[in-house]
Amino acid sequence: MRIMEYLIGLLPFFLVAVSVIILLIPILNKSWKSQRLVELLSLTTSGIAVIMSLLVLINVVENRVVSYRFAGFKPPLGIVYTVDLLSSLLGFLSMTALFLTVLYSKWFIISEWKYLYYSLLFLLSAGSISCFYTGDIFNLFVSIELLSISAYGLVAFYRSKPTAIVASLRYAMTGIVATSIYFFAVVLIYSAFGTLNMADIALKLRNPNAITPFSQSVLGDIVLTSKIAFSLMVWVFLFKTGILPIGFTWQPHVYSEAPLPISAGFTAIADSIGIYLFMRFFTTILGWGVIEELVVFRITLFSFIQVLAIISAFISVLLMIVEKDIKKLITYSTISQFSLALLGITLDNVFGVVSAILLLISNILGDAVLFYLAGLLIIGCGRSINCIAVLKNSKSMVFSLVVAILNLFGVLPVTIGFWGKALLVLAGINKSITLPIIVLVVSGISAIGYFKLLHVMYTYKAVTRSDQELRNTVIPKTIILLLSTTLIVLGLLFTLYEPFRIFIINVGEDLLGNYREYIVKSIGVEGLI
Amino acid sequence: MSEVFIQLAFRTSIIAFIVNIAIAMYGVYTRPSLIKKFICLIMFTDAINLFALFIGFRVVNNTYPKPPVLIREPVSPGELEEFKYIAVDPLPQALVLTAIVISLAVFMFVIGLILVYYEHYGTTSIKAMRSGGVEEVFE
Repeated sequence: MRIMEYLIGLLPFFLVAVSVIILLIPILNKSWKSQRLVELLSLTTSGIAVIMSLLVLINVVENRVVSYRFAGFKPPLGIVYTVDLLSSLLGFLSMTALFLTVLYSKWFIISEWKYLYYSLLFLLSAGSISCFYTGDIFNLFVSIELLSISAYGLVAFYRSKPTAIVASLRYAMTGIVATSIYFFAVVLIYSAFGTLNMADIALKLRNPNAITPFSQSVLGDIVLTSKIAFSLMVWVFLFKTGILPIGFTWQPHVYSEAPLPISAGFTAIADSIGIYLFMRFFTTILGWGVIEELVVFRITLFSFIQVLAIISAFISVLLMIVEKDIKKLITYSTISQFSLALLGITLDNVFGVVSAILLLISNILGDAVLFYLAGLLIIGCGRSINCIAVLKNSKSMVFSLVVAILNLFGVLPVTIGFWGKALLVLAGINKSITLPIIVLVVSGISAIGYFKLLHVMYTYKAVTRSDQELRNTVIPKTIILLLSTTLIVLGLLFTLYEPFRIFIINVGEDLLGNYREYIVKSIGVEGLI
Repeated sequence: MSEVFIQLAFRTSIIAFIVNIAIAMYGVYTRPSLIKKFICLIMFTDAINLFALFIGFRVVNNTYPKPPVLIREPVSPGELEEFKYIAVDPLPQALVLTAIVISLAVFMFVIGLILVYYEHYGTTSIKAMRSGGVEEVFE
């Protein structure tokens, strides 16, 4: 039991340690063997990270909420990692994406600076897992910064390309503004609540008279401060998710200029954090049961985010139709899926939150399939969507493309994406008839963009370049097939296997209604709520 | 007198904070020079860091805040109670220190990116990127 708790604290540290070791290998040994050693080490350690995150997930399924106290300091005095079903599930997905990215990079990336690439990738993952596991809002700021700086570095990996430098600059400058605003919000929260612990803040938002050890009672006007701080945080999370208005300034550029395996991994490792933080801050912290003075504010804020999510979804699907660059097309697809997931969260019911989780999972896997397929056509032909014609000679790749498209479009109940959209429609019906219509219209427009790929594949002719990398495509094709099969397996499991369906619904229910357990297990004191 | 002075200083600081934020945001989003954008980013983060430091100060019964250090030992319960109310909270300072260290790393990276941008375009103006070529801009 204790070992499992230590595993939570050990995982980010393990990833940072690997990152440092990878950086040291070429310094100690400059021969070509060091490149192979870096690849081998990255592959092995990312595999270990997947197993560690899986063990954490299994432990959390048994105990619902597990916390780890750094250096044994009791929260809210010390930093605590509090892991619930959602954070452990997304943490596992993030680590799986890391493993797949490392595996795909072994085939795709040819560079003498490979060790820097892997080192940054592991730092990115350390930041990501720390964001998912942390139960402290300032530790979250540090984790976001760790994630961001490694992401800026990875985007600028091809430094000989001016467009990559410009994309990284865009990302970095917008990112610095966003994270500074987040820091400002953190300071505001501390000024009123006298604590940085998420569970402590969640407790005081429900019971302002609660006196917790160390942080004691609230220090200032928590109503006004919460209104300002949480409104500011919305912009930061919108930036991280890549949703309108800030997201459009960086995400299409970053996704199209970053090395392809990174673009594929970004969805799971970096961008899903925005949606996760929305869920964490607006369900666990400012969620059900908050003081009356903030109920109206929460509803107003959700209505505002709802409008943004709908506009963002419409703009992204419209841009998807006209886009000719395969990487940008997938980016706009990601933005539209994230916008719908955000819409699900703002509906503030179990089906809405579950739909957001399912859309997140389906988008992480579906996007990865599309990006990995894009890798084949970028090497074989180019970045134009017309180049997708090179895939038609391989039946397995056509199958994977069709599965990924059907999943993201969400039309067949055999894929997990279908259930994401179906539950979103069901959740929307409870609120207003307009919302399901909007979801269906957005999906309909996005279908034009998705099926354009199939149309182009069968009507255009593309000549495959002779590239050394194309001589052995076992690794990418295996990953693509594995992911597309996973999409179907998850869809079938959700349709036919009740325990899996109950597990996913429990994740949503726990997030919305089980805040008591989160607070009690995180702070370690009962009877306060 | 001291109360008027403290109020004045506090209000001036808040106004300075808002003005700094506004100027920095204007610079980041409108200036074409990357160096000017960079300077504005530093202004932006520093303004927020300065604001964070203010959070730790408390003025109770017209007494000036004290450093969060107890010099003499043993401390009587009365002194400890007074210390609790008057001493500056050291946590915001620790937060700011961490934020500054992180900012340093990020800013070093950004300045490196600007340098590479300069190597590509021969200027630090974003107009060069938009026009697709090298352009001399004196702003």
